[in-house]
Amino acid sequence: MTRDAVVLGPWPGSRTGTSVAVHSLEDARDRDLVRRVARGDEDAFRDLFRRYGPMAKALALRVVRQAFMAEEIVQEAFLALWRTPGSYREERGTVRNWLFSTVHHRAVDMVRREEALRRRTEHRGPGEAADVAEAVVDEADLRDRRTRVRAALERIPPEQRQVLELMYYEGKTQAAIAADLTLPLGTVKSRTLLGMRRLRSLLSEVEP
Amino acid sequence: MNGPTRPHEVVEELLAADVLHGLDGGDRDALGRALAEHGPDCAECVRLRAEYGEVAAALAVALDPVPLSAGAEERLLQAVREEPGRGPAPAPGEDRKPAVLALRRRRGVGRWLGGVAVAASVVLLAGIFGLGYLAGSDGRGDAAALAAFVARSGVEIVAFPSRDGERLAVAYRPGESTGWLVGSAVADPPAERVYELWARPAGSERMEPAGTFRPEDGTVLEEVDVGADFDLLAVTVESGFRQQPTTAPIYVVEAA
Repeated sequence: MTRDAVVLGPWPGSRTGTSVAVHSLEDARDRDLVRRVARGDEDAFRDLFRRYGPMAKALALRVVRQAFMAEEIVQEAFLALWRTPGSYREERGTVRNWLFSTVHHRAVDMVRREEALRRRTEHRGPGEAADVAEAVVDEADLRDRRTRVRAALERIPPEQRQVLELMYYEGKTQAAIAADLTLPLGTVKSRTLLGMRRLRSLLSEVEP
Repeated sequence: MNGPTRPHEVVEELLAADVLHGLDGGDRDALGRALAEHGPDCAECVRLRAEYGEVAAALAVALDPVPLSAGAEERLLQAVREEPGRGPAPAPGEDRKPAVLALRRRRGVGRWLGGVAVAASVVLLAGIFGLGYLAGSDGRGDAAALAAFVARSGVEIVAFPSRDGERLAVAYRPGESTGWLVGSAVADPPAERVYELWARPAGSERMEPAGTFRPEDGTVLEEVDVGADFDLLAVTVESGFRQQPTTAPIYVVEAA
């Protein structure tokens, strides 16, 4: 039995030796790439960067609103992956989840630390391109996933979607959102939880 | 009448916001306490974090990807190759100067010289670095500025550990931010790279950028900003000016 045997789904007696639910071949491939990165495999690292770099930049750019800073954040996040690949824990979710969480965390930290970086622009929804200079080579599975996520977002109540977008895309805390929208903090917390539950449910319906 | 709160209701509410990085300090503490109560091996806590984490990642996927700037991939890979002990071996025939010239991170290896008299400091710098023009010639503007700097009392000198004939030191005055980086026989950094000097403010854990430099025929003469009170100096090889070091230091000297 090879160490890198791939198991689809939470299979009893998993060959991987740990209770890890592998959601898709894409996830399995990403985990394998991280294992190779841990062994110093530059090609594997390059693969991950090419696959997730543009999306990571989109996320960072959406939060910090400056292309240069967004790219710095992405570079630092990937460099952190290279330095400490062991900080990714398979039982905590997908590589994609971990990468985007790292990028998002750095972006939000920067925004909250340096308020001057935030421009007062009109609020953008996830369907609008932030700053596309040229077409990005976009893999089909990610395009499909993007379509499904956007469709799911449209199906959650607008007041819940608004809270989630302000928190994730604007880097605001729940307290800041409550102040901005003149809502009780408890209402914001409730909308956050309900919105996330609803989105989680919708996404699990549409995942292949 | 409402029943008792289910054990993971509080955790779920906090985690759902935490994966969006939307918690304030008080709630982050509350989440930490709640997770600690359940313990690190609580399967339900792990499941909730993983599932909500995927929802957060989906919000990232919803955005249109943005192309990275030209050369971004190569810059990242170059930074990776310069990481000590983690990068792959250079390709056969690759002409690459080693980035690590010397790394001795021990107290006292560098020379931390305090309170050197004016004349002595000038002589010391000139002697260490073979910079004859420091001795009062009408040489370059930088040399004249350095000479004027060391002419005032209170100059102190920190010399980095020397190796292979390279010499590098910082002349500074306690309480003043501006200092001078002086060097001789310093090798060029790798192509498209610069050296960057770092100063760690006394009592801080964070390194602050003090200036980038490239030797001219081995000579270094640069005005730098080391801050008014530092306890460690270091030099790294970088792709350009950075706010934080991205590579391991090639020179380090720490106050005894």
